[in-house]
Amino acid sequence: MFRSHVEKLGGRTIAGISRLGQFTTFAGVLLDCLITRPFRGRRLIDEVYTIGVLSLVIVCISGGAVGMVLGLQGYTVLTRFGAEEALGSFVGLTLIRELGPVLTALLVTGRAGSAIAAEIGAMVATEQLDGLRMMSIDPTHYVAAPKAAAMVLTMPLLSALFIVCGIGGGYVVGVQFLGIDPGSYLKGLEGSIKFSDDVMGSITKSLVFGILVGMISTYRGYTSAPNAAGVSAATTGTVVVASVLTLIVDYIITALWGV
Amino acid sequence: MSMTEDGTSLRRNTEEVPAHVDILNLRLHFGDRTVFDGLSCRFPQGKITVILGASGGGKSTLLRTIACLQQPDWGDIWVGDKEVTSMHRHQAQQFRRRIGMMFQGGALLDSLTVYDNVSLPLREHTKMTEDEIRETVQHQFTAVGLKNVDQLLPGQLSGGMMKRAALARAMILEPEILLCDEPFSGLDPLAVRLIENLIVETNQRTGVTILMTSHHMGSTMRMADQVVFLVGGAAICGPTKEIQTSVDPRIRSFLRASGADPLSEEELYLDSGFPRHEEEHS
Ligand SMILES: Nc1ncnc2c1ncn2[C@@H]1O[C@H](COP(=O)(O)OP(=O)(O)OP(=O)(O)O)[C@@H](O)[C@H]1O
Ligand SMILES: [Mg+2]
Repeated sequence: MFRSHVEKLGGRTIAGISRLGQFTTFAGVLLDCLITRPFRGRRLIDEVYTIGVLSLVIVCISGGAVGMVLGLQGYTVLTRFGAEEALGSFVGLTLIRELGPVLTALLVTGRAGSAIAAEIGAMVATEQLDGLRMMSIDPTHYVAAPKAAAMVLTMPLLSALFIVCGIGGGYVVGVQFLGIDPGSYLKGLEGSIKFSDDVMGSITKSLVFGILVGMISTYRGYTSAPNAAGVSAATTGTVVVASVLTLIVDYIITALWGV
Repeated sequence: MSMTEDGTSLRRNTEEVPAHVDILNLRLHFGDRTVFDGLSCRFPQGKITVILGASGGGKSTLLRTIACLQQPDWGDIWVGDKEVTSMHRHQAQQFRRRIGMMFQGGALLDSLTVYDNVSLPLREHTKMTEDEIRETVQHQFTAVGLKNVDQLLPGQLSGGMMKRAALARAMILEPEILLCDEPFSGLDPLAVRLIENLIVETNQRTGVTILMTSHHMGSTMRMADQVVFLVGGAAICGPTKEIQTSVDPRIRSFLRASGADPLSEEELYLDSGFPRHEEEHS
């Protein structure tokens, strides 16, 4: 009884480690593909477009909503200290330093990351990747690398969009509904945000999240079992793993570098 | 080489033409399921060889192993003077340029049009101009009898058109060897004849060595120069005539079951455990 539990634990551990090794190898091949010719610019642009279009609407709407909530909550909290004028800097800093990159990564994972895993998984199931191999085309080079690279490029842009929409949402609630002076909202925003610290940190975060989501979604699609169950497992697996890792890595980055 | 008691006579016949693909003592298992257990056979140059066997007998897996898409546990596969199983990733990629493969489901990229699919190998591996590519692809489309499909997506093709498009893509780089996985599955009898003629005609026109798997006895007897029979993880191979008149009980029962008797054919499908509409029958 006890022994079988130990055996199971050992088996799981070994499987986990070998999975990790497989992932690392995949990441290495992916990197290698990004620097070997031919450079697939056309595929990259297509993928950036697809990911961007998929995520644009939800990022804007969510950004606006989050900004409005921040406006309301921030106002309630700040009035207790008589500091409603600081609403602009409160909304801006929260969005730029934290919520922008993280929530964008979560949204993009759910929308575009799952789509990438499902698409590649379906290609595995219908032998399209083997078809590419038989044409002497490396499927990592042709399919996975442009998708992962596009994810890394798009993430900071979408995050920026999220932040702008959020600041707009905070403005609407704070200035239009709650009657804060528009000048002080914008002034606070302008005065408190440092480019080298806050904005660069924000961009770094979303780049890291982009790498994370891009790698995980392509890897899960690529290694999915060649059937419908495999595709669905790859999709949910991508969303779960990438979301949780995003939050953990966010904490690590914040703790280590204070951004 | 051959597993039958009359192996010597088979050997004489298949050695008249030099082997293009030579498989020696191939072993492969998935978990505790043995697919190949010391399989050896050879595929003569420039001929059409049909691989027969029960569903799940390893026909597709054999083609995948030859194409270096599946690594065997043991054994050698010689293609010309190259050994396939020990190749690295890049070597395998180079090697596959000499091989065309027509997958059972077509395996066309469903995000590209048929034209882009067929022209993709040319764009990747040749320095042809856009005009030359267009001309080559149109020529290929004519050869396989496809018309007005350039701008269609693979999802918009019928089964027969899909097979033709897959054949066009497999042949576009003029490979030495063409692997076809069940080119007749899911086709009506007329379409079977058309694809059959197409394959034979391609073989005669270009001299390409063709290895195909099939469940379709009628077309096998018409077009095959050699037949490879997969039973119990091993291969029985020989010229079509000899297989037809073979006394091996396993071959006899397979031939009888796929003969004209509709009742026994029905039984075969039930036995195979596959839905009937997946198989083809003339
Ligand atoms: N990747 C794999 N993992 C595990 N088992 C596999 C794998 N590929 C094939 N098999 C098993 O190997 C056996 C041979 O499969 P294969 O597809 O080659 O059969 P087949 O002769 O082509 O059958 P069919 O006529 O139905 O196409 C089957 O039992 C299958 O379950
Ligand atoms: Mg098969």
